[in-house]
Amino acid sequence: MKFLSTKELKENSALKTLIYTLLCFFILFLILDLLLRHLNIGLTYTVALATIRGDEEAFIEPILLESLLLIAHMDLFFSMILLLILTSIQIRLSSKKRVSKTLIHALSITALMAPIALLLAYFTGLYLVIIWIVLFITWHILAILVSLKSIYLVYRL
Amino acid sequence: MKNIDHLYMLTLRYSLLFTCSIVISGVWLFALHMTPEQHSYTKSLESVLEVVVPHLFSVSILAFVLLHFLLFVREVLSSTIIKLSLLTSLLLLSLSSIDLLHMMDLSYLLYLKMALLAIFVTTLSKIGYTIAKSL
Repeated sequence: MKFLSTKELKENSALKTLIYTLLCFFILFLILDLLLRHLNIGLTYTVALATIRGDEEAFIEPILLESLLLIAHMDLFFSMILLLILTSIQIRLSSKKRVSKTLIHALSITALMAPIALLLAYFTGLYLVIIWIVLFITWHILAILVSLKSIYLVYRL
Repeated sequence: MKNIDHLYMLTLRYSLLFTCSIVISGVWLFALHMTPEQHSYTKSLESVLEVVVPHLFSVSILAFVLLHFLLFVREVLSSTIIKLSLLTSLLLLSLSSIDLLHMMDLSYLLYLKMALLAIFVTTLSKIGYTIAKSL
């Protein structure tokens, strides 16, 4: 965001507090998002597979394509907005541009591929469920780490 | 500064990919609702608003953040940003109209929706083309 490019960040305690608060909300959102997905789809292979493909023995109906599509649609929107803001904070604060570049690539690719893998898992199944779980958890942990690092960098200013 | 610009452009490129994915999943959802069974009854105001309200908020936020982000990239002219803002507003209006049309109990509703979807896709391709040209 444009306000983050100000040179007066060091002296402006109000702006620093604003960034702290924003990053804290991001961390809270990411943790609760992990919890929510664990509850409505499942973040373990057997539970996620049973939710997506159904389980006749346990009388579990497969999830509707519409519901899965809605989850992917919303996930893409939230992750895009979060990553746009988070990476702009990271670019503004970090002096190591190569690290920032690697983080942007890693965060964006994992966050983008996770909902796509979830949708593909509905049609093909098995291995893509594992890929979705790995990508989903990876991008959340990475985003939490970047947020924590950004908090530290703002504190150090 | 040039390095920073490069990083912002990288983020912008990824956000374009995200936007495309959001649109594809949105159009897919829309297509699922276009089955004849779904058209046999008129939707209630509540169900229409359930779709319109989050879209009005999210599309405007998306447009604001994405276009605001373009201000960082010095290569992109402000006139381009103005054009993009206008196009995105058109996109927002098209989206809302598509949803609000559910309220009308008309036999040619399906064709109207198709026409609006065509406008929506055309607007989006124009935005994509303008951004791609600017980058």
